[in-house]
Amino acid sequence: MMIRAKYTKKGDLVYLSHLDLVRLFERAFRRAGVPLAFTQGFNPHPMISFAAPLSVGISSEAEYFDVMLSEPLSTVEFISSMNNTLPSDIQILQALQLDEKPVNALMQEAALMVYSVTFSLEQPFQNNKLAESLDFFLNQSEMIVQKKGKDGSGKGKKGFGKRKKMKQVDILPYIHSFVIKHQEDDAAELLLHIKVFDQATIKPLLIFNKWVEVSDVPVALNTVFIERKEICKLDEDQQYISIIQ
Amino acid sequence: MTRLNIKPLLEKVEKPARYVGNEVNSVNKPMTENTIRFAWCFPDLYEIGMSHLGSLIMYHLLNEQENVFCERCYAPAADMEEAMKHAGMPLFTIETKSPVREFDIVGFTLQYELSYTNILHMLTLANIPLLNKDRTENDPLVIFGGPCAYNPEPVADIADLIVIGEAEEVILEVLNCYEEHKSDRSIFLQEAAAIQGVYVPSLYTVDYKEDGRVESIRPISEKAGLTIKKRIIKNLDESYFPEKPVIPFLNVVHDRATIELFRGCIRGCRFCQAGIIYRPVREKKPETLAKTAKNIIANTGYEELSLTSLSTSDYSNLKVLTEDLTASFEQNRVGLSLPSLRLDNTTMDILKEVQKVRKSGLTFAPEAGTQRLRDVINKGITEKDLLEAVKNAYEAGWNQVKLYFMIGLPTETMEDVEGIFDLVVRLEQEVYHKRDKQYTHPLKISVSVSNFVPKPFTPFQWVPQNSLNEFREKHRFLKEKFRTKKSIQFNYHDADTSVLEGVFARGDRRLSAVLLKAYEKGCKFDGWAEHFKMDKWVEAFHECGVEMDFYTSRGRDKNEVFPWEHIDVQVTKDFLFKEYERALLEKITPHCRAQCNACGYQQTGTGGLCP
Repeated sequence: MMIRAKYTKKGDLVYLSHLDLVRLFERAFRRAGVPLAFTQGFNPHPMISFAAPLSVGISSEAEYFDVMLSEPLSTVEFISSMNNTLPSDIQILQALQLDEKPVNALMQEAALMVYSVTFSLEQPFQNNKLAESLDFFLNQSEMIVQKKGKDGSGKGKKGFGKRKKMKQVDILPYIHSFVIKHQEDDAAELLLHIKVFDQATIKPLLIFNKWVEVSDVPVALNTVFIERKEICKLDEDQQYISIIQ
Repeated sequence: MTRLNIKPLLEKVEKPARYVGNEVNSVNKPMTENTIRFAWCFPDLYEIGMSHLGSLIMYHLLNEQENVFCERCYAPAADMEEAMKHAGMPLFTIETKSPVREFDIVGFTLQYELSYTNILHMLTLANIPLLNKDRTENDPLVIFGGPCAYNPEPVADIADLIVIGEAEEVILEVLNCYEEHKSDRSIFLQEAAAIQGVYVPSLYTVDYKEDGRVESIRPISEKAGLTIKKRIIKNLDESYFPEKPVIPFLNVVHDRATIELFRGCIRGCRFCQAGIIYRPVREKKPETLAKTAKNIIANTGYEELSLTSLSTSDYSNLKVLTEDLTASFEQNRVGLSLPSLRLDNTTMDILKEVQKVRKSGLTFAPEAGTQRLRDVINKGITEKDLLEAVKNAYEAGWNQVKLYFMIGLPTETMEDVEGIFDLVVRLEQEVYHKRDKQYTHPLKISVSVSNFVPKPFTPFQWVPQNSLNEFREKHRFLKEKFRTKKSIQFNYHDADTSVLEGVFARGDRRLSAVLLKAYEKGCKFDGWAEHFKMDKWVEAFHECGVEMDFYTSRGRDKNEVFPWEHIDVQVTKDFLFKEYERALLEKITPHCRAQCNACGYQQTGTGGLCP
């Protein structure tokens, strides 16, 4: 039996790396007495797959994993036994029983990431400055940023020899939308929808920082707070819906 | 109480999870005016400190006490230190993010001589005076303990109080004494000095001979005894062991559940300090261990349980215990790991059962390359045993074998050094011979060579350590030899750090000044190759007028008064010297279960029963 679960990653636990998080969940499953299914072979491990790893330092209200159980378990029981043993900053919000193993891994289903970015200003806004600046940003023909590539030296290299190459990427094709959600005199919340192509995407901070760089909005950089709000997939009508729908 | 806001700093550092605390099973409790605040400081990074079983025991034991709140603190990595300095932030504990200076007691564990500068470093970051004579009632009490504390002298000017031996019981007595006398530090220290296992260095004075050797070590207070007798837990089976241990966030060095099968060791290898200082052997009952193990796994969800001790195959009930645990953990895929094994046939059978599925690498420690030298060090293992064990392991499906050797052992000649290479080659040939016939998978052999450091309270406490050049020549020789054997991975330990370790292992009180000087010159994290600065150390010794050779390559007379002469580990100096003489005669001494060798423990009348 397969369960898809939505969970939070907040507070101090935003500083956990993806691998730390995976380990934390594997141990929580065992503490909670959730009957995990294991892979066969010499080194059995639980069958869990996570959606798009979150950057260290970014908070989230919508993280996902799929997990295979060896015995049936109600989603209600799954949620309560897990939440009992998980830290308060990581809690399961929703669980869905999948009828069968999904055709695509969770990572491949993800098509759109929704982020909220809040920040304060060093001095108050003038009129429509914020909206204009976002418009200007999105209407450029390209917006190039330096992005860390995957493994620059190809496969097979390990340890300290592995160096990530920087590459240049145009971020605009990745931006689905970048709009104002809420605005005060000296603070704002923006909503940033970022597309995922073939499991490749752009980190929200990279986009936000580029906007700050080219706009003249006086963002107080030490107040920036980014939170993932949702991960979406494409339904049959090519509409974005939550990955747990 | 101050709670520092470390959040802005966390954005700037590589592994912020080292500093956030609040791990599953970590402790946070309400405090009152009477709460004794204890900062448990580990003089290294979080990943190292969180791998230390002793710290885990003490952390939870202290927090079991209603009137104590023990918090943890680790040395910040370079990036965090930089961020802290920039923000003007002092050293803090990870539970409540309080400045370490605000604590009543600041405790450091001495696990490794090369972590001493990190103690100075952490005290400095905490704004606590480094020397005990400079601290007042307004400063926390600074206490030390751990295995290196058996020779406390190199850090004697730094600590207010040092615990000698196993701390589980004595620490609570120290805390009671503290509660009673906390208003007057000098009275507290005098009273504490009367507790067995407590050493208050400021209550002793050391006289030196003209040639620099110790003349005598004398108490200068009536409350301080002539000797400080180590503390042990008499009934280990009933002693405290945490069943809900903190689970680190990061992938730490030893990231698994641990149970402790027994303390002490029956073997008596002559280079081994642990084998002497943790005497006598005290085993826990298999039922106790099984119950503890099951509770720990239920409370942590760890995927691996390690059965630790100094020599796990010597646990009397190993088979019963592993069968019980394997049966209960099989379904949940919890693996067992058995470190520190002697690979005889019985052990191999157990290991085959335990590691049916997951076969990690196997480690053997022949320690020396020739039978003669293995007899000198009383490592009762023959080449036949070793060939047999490697062959067995290979046949059972292991494909990785790690071999540990030491160079610089007493009486060692170049033939013995060459013997390491020859032995490894014979092992490899043995397996290759097998391989032609029926097996096809390759066997990966790696060889690690470390440098012998003579330690106090061992039969080799009298011997000169090899010099830097001797170590280096032996390294060069072996490197050249192994270069012809590409199939074998050869590693060796850096000679500089071994020599420095040798200085502090058998050092005296005059080294506190050198430590301070070296720290001033920027020495810290000396155990990390990328941070170690031998040139600065050499300068520090030179400027303090202290010779390294005096502590390392100098031979000692039978009757030399050692800097640790006042510490009583309940094994007699006579016994150790007899063992040294037997070593020179290449004579094996049987292990404690085969025959009592009158090491002195039983004569002390403390009533503990040796195995």
